[in-house]
Amino acid sequence: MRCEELSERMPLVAAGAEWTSAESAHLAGCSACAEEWLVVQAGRRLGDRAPRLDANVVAAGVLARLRTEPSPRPAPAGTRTGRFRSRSARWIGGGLAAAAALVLAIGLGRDKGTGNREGPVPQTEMTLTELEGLTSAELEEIMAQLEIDDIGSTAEPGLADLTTEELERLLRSWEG
Amino acid sequence: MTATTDDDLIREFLAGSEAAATQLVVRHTSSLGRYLAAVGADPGEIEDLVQEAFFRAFRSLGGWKGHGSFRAWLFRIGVNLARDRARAHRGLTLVPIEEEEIVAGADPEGEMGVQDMVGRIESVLAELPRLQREVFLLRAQQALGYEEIAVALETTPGAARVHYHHAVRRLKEAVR
Repeated sequence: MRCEELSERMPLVAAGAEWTSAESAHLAGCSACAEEWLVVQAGRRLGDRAPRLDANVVAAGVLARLRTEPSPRPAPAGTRTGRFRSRSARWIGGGLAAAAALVLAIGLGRDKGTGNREGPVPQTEMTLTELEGLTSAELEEIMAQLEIDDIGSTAEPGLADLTTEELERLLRSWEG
Repeated sequence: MTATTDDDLIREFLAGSEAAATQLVVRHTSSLGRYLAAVGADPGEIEDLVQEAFFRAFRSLGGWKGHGSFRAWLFRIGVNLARDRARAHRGLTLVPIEEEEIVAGADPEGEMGVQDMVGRIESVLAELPRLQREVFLLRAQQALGYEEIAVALETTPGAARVHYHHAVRRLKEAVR
């Protein structure tokens, strides 16, 4: 019998299991194990001051709540999950706004006929401001109308095609 | 009802049996209450914490993957609730055990030594790092295995074993 083996058994015996004769013999002759056994027994008692709970009362309370709140509800704003979801929604909305802004900046900021990129900046800024007030659904609708699916195509303008000013405006729209 | 294991009761609960939920509550209320008391929860709040832990456990059982035991999972919820409550109260202190609240133990021969040890253990335990304290209690008081402790405290079985032995060593040194 090794001390480690006895140590493993101590919590179980403290919970009601019986020592084997070999374990009892080891415990009687090993001061280190006897000391640990006292510690474990004391640890077992530490919750004895807990108020005696009536499990049936607890169960009734739990069941009553389960009946009235049967499934997880959206976390209210201010909770960790709620904050996360709000933040996610903002990021999604922000992403859509930035993508729409990107398309608009490219579309409005350049003269397609001449390739002139010194486009109508005031008009673009007004458009970006208006985008901030749109919902995600509305932004998605605008994106669809602008045929944004083609934005990743090498044949269509991308970020590399933007002027410095357009990129700065785009970044400002991200930062809010 | 023929179900005897927690897994059986969980299946029955998910099939709509409130009796199964009640049986799970009856089975684990006392041990969870004792643990929460030992980690220093306000005695006046323990019933509320226990009820909340069961409510949350049941409400999310549909998404439970079954890793570890129900008891370990329940304790994990209870531990997190107690920590949140402690943060809200800005500090959790172990409340001294009143002599008359210590119930008779299963080891009459060592009773005086254990009773004397309980008070000393409690004060030393309060000074241990949180994880050592919680692992020690789950092992010594609740007789949980290291796998279950790992689930309850969101650590690994190996780390739980190390924390337990550190705690025991510190407690043995302190009570000599």
